[in-house]
Amino acid sequence: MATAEVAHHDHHDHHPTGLMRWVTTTNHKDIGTLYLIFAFIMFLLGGAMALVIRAELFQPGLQVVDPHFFNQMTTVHALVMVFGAIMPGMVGFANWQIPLMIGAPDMALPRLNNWSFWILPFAATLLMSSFLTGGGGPAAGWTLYAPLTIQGGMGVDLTIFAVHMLGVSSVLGAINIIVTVFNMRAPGMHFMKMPLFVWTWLITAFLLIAVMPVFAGAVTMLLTDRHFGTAFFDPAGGGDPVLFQHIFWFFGHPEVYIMILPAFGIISAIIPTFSRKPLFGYTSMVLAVAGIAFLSFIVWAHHMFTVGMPLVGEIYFMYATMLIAVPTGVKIFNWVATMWRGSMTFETPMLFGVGVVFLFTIGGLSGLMLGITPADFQYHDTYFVVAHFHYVLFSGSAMAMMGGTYYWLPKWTGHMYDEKLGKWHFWLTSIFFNIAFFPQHFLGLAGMPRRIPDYALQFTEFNVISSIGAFGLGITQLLFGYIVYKCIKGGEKATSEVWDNPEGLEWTLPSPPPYHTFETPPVVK
Amino acid sequence: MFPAYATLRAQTSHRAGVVTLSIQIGDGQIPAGSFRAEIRPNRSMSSRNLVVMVICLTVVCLTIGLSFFSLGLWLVLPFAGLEIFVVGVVVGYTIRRSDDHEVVLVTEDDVVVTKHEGRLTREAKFQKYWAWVRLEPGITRMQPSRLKIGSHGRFVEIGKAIEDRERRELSARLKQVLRAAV
Repeated sequence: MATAEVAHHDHHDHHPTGLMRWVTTTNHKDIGTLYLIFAFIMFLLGGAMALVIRAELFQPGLQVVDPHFFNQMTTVHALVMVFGAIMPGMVGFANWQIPLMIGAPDMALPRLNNWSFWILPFAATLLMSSFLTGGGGPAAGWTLYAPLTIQGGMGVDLTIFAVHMLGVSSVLGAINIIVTVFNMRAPGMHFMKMPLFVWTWLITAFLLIAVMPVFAGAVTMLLTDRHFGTAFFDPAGGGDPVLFQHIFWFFGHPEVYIMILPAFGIISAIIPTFSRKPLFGYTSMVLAVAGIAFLSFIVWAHHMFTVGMPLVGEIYFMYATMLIAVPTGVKIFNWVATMWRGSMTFETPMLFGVGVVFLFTIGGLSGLMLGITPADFQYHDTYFVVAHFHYVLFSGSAMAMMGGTYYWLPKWTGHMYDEKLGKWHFWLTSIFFNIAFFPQHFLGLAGMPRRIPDYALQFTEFNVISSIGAFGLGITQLLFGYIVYKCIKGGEKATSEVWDNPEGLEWTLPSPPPYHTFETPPVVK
Repeated sequence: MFPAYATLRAQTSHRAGVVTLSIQIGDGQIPAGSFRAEIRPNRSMSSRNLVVMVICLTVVCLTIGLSFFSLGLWLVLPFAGLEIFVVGVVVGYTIRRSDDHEVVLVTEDDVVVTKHEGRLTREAKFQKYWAWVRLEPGITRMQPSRLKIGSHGRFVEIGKAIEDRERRELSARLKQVLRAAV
């Protein structure tokens, strides 16, 4: 082969600057940053929708929006938070951290990585544009249950295409993570030496690959029911709407773990650092994550106890659900045991770490309550469920991401964040979160159904409290944006280690790490 | 009995790649006294194990797809198949590129740079007495250095799979070998 061709090939290391740097980048750090910024924007957007919901529920009666728009808000809020904020946020962490943690120069498939990200803004635009269609956005809840979605307007079609695109992005991201972790670990970085964050993401990636085709198939069948005369789920044509619930939750329950497992990984990085002790029970943590992932495939019908299953089925799904408490309990125990007699300090990441352990446990316990079949007949489709999954997804996933951001932000930017403001952010977030969502347990137990724009008078006080908390929580997140922005722009210089002797290869690099490679060779002992 | 190459230095604990420098001191396929550097990126899993991983994923996805197919929800199956196809293509690409490497061979008269990329093998040859090595620092602090070798205005870049420190060492070694020839 001619030398000239080789020489020509050699110049692709130069990359554009300015806007084109971000559009064409294949660098894992750039793409991680893009994912995190996108996730934060969607988090604010989904949060704004939540505030529309809480404004309407501030008082009984209809004051702010009409019921149809209210339903659109509940639906799109959830879709945006699940597919636009939490999942891309976690992928952002994966992009930034996995190559640094396993000693790889980049992700295995950098161009695919770029594509995975740039699908997202278009998918989000498609989802948002559903509001502009004749019938408005989807209004059937994020579960997109048939036959209501079969009857919806064009907004449902746009939503189906949007979730397809989001699914493609997730699957491509998952494939990239699997290939990276399998093939690009530094010599000596054996599987059982990998940081737990890498383990949790590896298992999450397998979950994504296993369940995304199910979701893609489900929404495509919805589409064909709507437009091509099939009757998979349409009872008018002999279809079975309950089958949609089964197929949705076969995807939906692992999806919950897709959102929470990487959060477990982040917490497992934070707690040992600020306890100044190695993670207690590393092997059991890995096995617990794998156990949770496996169990997530066999418990889906606990979301549909009231649908009219045979008693045997109800009992099976109840006991299978109870089993999840075992590996989850192992994890909680190990985090607490890591802190036990540690030289603990409470910088902002640790505050979030401890906060997540405490609040997620509340969400886990209310999940156990929901898993008890006869009790679930009372709680089903009430605000108790809303409280439960917000304790899992906000104070589990979202707060773990906030803690992870504070933990790794000095490494990413080379500057320390404002510790005082960070602590303010934690306390305001935790307090307002509990004001917003703890009363919803009582509302649910008292029988207030979810997804309603109006309610009986006896629910007023708790709804007022909840709405005040929600607005406080929303405004507090602007502070988070300011703290991160301030840290990016400048601040006290961060050292390589940032914290007091943290574990992991990423801390052997300077802060911020070089764009492409490492100045100090890693030592994987 | 001497081995074909006596390894002067074999690094195995690098993040980015592995460099093996050797000098011919006995019978082998390259002339005696020549210098050889082989640079290959780090790969932590064998091709066989990657294939096993794809097979396991295929079994899981097809089991799920076929289960829904048996319930009449056949549209899950094509998506599962499509996904497995993409996984297969990606892993196949990875396996194909897993043997990518560069060889810099300095013989009595020539410097030969051979790049093995996938199925392509590209070779650049320079006259040893005119060849020189250039280590360019990154344009910005965030960019890696670039190591080039060539002569008469034609240069090829080598050592992209290794880190800055290793590039510096390789550069110094190559300069030493070329200087010795003059």
